[in-house]
Amino acid sequence: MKNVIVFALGQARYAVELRWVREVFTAGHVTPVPHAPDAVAGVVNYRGAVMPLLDLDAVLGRRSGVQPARAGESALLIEVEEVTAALRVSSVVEVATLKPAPGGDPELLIDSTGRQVPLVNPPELLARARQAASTAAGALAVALSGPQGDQS
Amino acid sequence: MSERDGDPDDGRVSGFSDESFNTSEYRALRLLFRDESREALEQVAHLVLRAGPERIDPNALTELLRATHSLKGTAGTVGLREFADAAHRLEGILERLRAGALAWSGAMRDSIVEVVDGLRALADAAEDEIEAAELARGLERTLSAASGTEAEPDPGASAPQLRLQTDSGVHRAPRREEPAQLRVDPGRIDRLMDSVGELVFDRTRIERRTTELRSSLAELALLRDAMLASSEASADLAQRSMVRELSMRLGQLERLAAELLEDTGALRRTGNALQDGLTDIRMQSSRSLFQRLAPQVRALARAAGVPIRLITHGGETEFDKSVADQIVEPLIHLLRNAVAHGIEPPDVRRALGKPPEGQITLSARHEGRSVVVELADDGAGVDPRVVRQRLVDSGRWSDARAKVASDDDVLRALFDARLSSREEVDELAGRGIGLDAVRDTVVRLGGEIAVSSTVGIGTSFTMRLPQTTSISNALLFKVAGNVFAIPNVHVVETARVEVSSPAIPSILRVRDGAVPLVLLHRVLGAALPADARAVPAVVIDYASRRLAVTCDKIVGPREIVVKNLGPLLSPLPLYAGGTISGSGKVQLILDPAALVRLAYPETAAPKATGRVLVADDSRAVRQAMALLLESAGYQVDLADTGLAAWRMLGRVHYDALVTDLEMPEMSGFELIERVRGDALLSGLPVVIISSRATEAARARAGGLGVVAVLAKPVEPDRLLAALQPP
Repeated sequence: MKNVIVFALGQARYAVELRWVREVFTAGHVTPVPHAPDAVAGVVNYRGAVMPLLDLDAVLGRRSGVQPARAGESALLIEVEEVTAALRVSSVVEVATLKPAPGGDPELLIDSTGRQVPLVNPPELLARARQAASTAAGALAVALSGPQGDQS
Repeated sequence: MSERDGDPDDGRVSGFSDESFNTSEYRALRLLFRDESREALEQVAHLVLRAGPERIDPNALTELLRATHSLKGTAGTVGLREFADAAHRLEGILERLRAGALAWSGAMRDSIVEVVDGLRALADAAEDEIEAAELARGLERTLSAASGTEAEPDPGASAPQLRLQTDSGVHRAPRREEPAQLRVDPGRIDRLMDSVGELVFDRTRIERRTTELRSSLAELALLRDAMLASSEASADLAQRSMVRELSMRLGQLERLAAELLEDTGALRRTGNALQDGLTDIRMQSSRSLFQRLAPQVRALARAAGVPIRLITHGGETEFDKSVADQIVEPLIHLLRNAVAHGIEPPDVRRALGKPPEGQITLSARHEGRSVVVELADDGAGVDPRVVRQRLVDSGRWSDARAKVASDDDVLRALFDARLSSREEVDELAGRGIGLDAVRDTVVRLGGEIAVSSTVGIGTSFTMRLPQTTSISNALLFKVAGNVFAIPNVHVVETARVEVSSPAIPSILRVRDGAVPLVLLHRVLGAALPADARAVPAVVIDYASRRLAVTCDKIVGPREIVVKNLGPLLSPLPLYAGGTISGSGKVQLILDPAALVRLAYPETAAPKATGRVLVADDSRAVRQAMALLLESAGYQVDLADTGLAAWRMLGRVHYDALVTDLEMPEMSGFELIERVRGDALLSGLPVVIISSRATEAARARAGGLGVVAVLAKPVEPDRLLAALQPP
């Protein structure tokens, strides 16, 4: 049994354990960050702090390219070992205590309507986003210092 | 810390057991102790150093005993047992010196200073038990050496809490009266500062809305006048009375709006006073900065075996604690360089007619709203001729450039990473090691650093720093619909660039010469507005280098609170942070350091020509590739899947294709196979960029006539070389 928040992202539903979620909030204006990895849809103002807004599909490599971010979307503020980030969601469906799906896959739960809901793993999510960010930072650093044209 | 000295609670110290504090209280107490002990220990060191090698003033000895005893008591209270033990043994040595059982000497003086520095390191390491134990062992050896005969610790040393019950009044000595000080966790002040920052934003927002309100009212007033004129001519009494009523209400609104504007003026004054007051609280005298550095100098001198005298000036100069905290590391670095590579050994100095003791001068002074911190040594100095030769030898500079460059320009190159991170460590490289990091820290704070040196006389570094950090002034401007900021300290002026399509100048003429022009639109992956005749540009000065960047619109100067972008985005070298606009939007602060790197590339390459298609499913890689290839002169198009690339290849002529391997819809290899199978495209040069450049992939690529397979992160030189026609 796991205490989770079930959320919708497009047509899909996911669950995330409550212990990782600090708050559900409405993201205001999403500022795009050029050269950020696809995993980061932009940055938002969360109570005066600058918070990266993560795109779950992009982090998990399910979709390439950028889904344009919109103001007023819901977001989950997740925190793992003092690293915080906002996870963009279409809507929050319910807070529930769900059973694992039969078959022994701990990453799959059964929701109140009997549907299977994949469990999102925030530590892994943030680790992947970090990896993507450091790759992007490396690429940018190289581009910034690379040889270039006429400087006369 | 000596306020605790006469505290009647002193005798109850042993009543505190480890369990009486929870961990976070302990931690807070130890942090407090660290700050307190730093001052007390420096005072002890000062007293000891003031004594000559022959004798020590008995009053000074009494004062030393008092300070040591007091430190011991406090250390015991906060549970720092090793510190309390060592302080107890130092106290024992001091007692024996006072009783004449031990003789004072120069060596004794040095040992005691070493013990004091050891105590200081122990206090700093309070959070790390392993490091503390290590330090305590080292300290134990120093103490044994200092006490001469006393090789075994006395039995009482293992039970400090027993001794803490002794009456501290015995050692109470007349001492300087200091006004009571309030010690506050800096984090609390930072939080207050954040709130004040928010207040500044709120005020700005209210001001903006009030202005909008007034302009709406002004339009309404015009309408009112027109209505009044027409209704007076009208025979409809009811309508005339309604218009008069409306006119009266509007008059009230106008008065209210004018008063509101006055109120925001008051709010601004109060906000400014609050901000100034808080900034004042965070102000710290340079003395405490010097106090943190003095033990470092002594330790460095001991390690290098070079006697050093540290002279400080301007200890009363105040600046923001957070600025002071950030420049400690850079200063230690400069001190280390000065001791290791600047000051000559005593015999060399004697031969040169210099005093055998090397001299390092640390000074601080105000200049306008800046604090100038200067660190000078009287060592060998840096010879510009040697640096110039090194720059030429390493290929960094051309002969011609080296010939025309002034000595100042040459010395400035010491801050360049490529000169200083050479693998062979010789005197010159040593002098330069890490100077790029030092400069980066200073510049990140909104300051600047300069070096001057005279051969045989010495070297001096001058840092010019802002007095405070967190609220800073910035110039805001728009690029492709988004607002960006650049710290005002780096902005020289704004200008306009005439765009004579299609060529955009790479040089912008400004008042006093010409500066390289960076197309910020391109850097940020945006297109220049198609119909632009002229675009605004911001002229930036960073680390004595000037450049201009294009934008769509200058928004204007603003006060901003600088926010960190967090661990995910901070690594991106283009941004110095973010800030929140009056309307709550995040705006990115551009890092001038990154822009300078674009404008002043390390090596110059001839402009390439041609059109290149880049296919990669990562946006970041696409943007970086576009930046690199466009800078090299190519026209670049981007595709995010193999299929999209394939379609584009059919529509436009390309001179080369740069492709990733793993992409959705159509993989890189599928794409290359299609290209090779196409009559028109079969000869297209193809370069693969991939994070999986395996042997198998290379073999398959070879079979397809691929020019090069480059592993990510792609080295720019290799990519550009691969794209050059053979």
